[in-house]
Amino acid sequence: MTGTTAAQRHALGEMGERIAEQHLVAAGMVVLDRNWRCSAGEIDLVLREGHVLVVCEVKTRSSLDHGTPHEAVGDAKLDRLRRLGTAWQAAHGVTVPDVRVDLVAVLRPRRGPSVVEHVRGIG
Amino acid sequence: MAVSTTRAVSLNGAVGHLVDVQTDVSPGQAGLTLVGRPDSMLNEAPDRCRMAVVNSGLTWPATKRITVLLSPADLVKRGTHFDLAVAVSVLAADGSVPVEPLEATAFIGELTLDGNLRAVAGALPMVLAAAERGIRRVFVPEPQAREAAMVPDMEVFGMRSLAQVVAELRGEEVPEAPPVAPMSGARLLSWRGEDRLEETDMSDLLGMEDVRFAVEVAAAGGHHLLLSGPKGSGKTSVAERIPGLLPDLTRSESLELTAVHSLAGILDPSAGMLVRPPFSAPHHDASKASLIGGGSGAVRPGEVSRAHAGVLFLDEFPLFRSDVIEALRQPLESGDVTIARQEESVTLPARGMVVLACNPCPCGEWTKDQRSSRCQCAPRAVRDYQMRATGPVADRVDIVRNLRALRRGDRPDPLSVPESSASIRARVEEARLRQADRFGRESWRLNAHAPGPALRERWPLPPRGQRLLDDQVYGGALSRRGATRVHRVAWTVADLRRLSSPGIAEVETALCLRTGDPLLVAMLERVS
Repeated sequence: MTGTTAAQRHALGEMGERIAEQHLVAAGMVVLDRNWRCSAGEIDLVLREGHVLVVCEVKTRSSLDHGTPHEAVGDAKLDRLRRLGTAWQAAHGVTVPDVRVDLVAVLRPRRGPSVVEHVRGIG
Repeated sequence: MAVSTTRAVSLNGAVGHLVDVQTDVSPGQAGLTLVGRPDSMLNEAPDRCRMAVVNSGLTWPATKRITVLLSPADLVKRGTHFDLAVAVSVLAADGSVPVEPLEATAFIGELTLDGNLRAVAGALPMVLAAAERGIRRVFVPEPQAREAAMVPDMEVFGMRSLAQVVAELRGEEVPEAPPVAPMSGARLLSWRGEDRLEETDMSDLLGMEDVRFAVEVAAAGGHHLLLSGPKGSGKTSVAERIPGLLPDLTRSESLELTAVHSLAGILDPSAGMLVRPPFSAPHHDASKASLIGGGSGAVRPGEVSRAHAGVLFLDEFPLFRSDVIEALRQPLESGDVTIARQEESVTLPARGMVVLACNPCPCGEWTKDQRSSRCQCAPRAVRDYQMRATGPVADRVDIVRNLRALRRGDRPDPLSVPESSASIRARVEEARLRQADRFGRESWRLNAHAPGPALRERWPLPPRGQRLLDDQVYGGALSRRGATRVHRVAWTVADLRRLSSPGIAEVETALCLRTGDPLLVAMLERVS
């Protein structure tokens, strides 16, 4: 049905994260960490934009057959990203008053150029 | 534009509130939030809207955060007819539909997943409410277009699908769509119902002179009536002929009644506005909700409201459940009915003539004369029945008539043809005109609806007549309420006799009508 293997999907995700990172850096953000893991889960990208700490989730899709990348981030996921942001700060001994959760949606079809959309401050 | 507003109507009984459906579409966590006290039906609207939009070939802003606000925010909104307003509002906020045509426009309709519209109940009161709030254009499902068009100065768009609505708003050519099925509660039987009543006439009733007179007075003044008598004495035949004696509805009555039928989902839009007084005869098994109104979710009008401005006939009324009979007190007295709910109370019009009928006992054979009585009921059952038949509801009736089975001496004169409904109706209409003239600027138009204090102060009885009533009251034969009712009936008798005010004869006639005493021949006199 999907016609893809787990390895292919993993590769697509990694590709999306690289595209997203380039996009955000080009937009003037500073990457602090990538694929940071703890027992609670993983943050795709941790960045800084001015004085704001940005916890960024990257969603990559090769088609919209299974909904938009945006729709994949529900309430539970959003809560987890917020908690992970706190965990990241604790692990690095910093306290940042302004934390934001961003979403980068990458649509990378089989052919043609990728489409990147950066949504600031979801939830 | 990221924010847009459309308008819908929320119904609270027969009262419609204009509701602003405001939508914001902006970046953020994707999804739709509906705020502003929706009920469970309305909460499902976003799911229906989304699929309807997608399946209509339009774009749903799936990557955006959509916030839909229904305001006024304190009002509970219920029903499925908000779908169209929500869908159009979202599309306009996302830029798929221009905002300008939404001005002074209301949207009413339920959507299906394939983007077609579905018929909804209550379109007429919704559009009426919208018109009062300055709405000039309304989009409704096609089956409701005729109903909506009954509202003057309203531009009505009867639509079949969301795609058609969007095309109309964009000023494009309206695409084809399958026709919308009428209300789900369509009549399955070609039942003749009220048509049958059209064929009945007072000329079918032989004899019964004093009942004929009582019915005429009741029709002329809008008085409640109690018919009591053994089975087969013609109580139902008399009651069924009363609507035929009533004039056509006034414009406001017609609107109120049509709105009530629209709310109940029983309006036949092809028949247009209702102009004839309705007749409703619920069975004595009827529940309180069916008679008074209620039900879960949206309030459905009961039989008392469906008989508004017409006749509500309760045959064998002592057999109705006691809570149902008790609940009838308010509409009998005030002409409207209030249904109290957890969070709201709904008032519906219920100003019909109530005609009660009862037997002398449960089996209907009891007579005072024990020897000729063929009654099989236990004495206690007879006592219980008669107690209920004379309870507080019966006290709220203006005119009481005792019918009796025909006897040998009653055989009518073959040469005399009883008067027809049409000629009685002419007198009733004239009497009603006199009342309308007299009450001019007041909020009521018929004697039966005139408040007691106003009557006593401005339209008093002659001193002798008032003394007669006072004697009855202090003698315990008549309650205070009963005296007020006699007062009203006396005015109606005077109106039928083309008198400028009632004299002692009219008061005596009214008293007889109220107490159920037989009328003297002189009392039956009518103007020709």
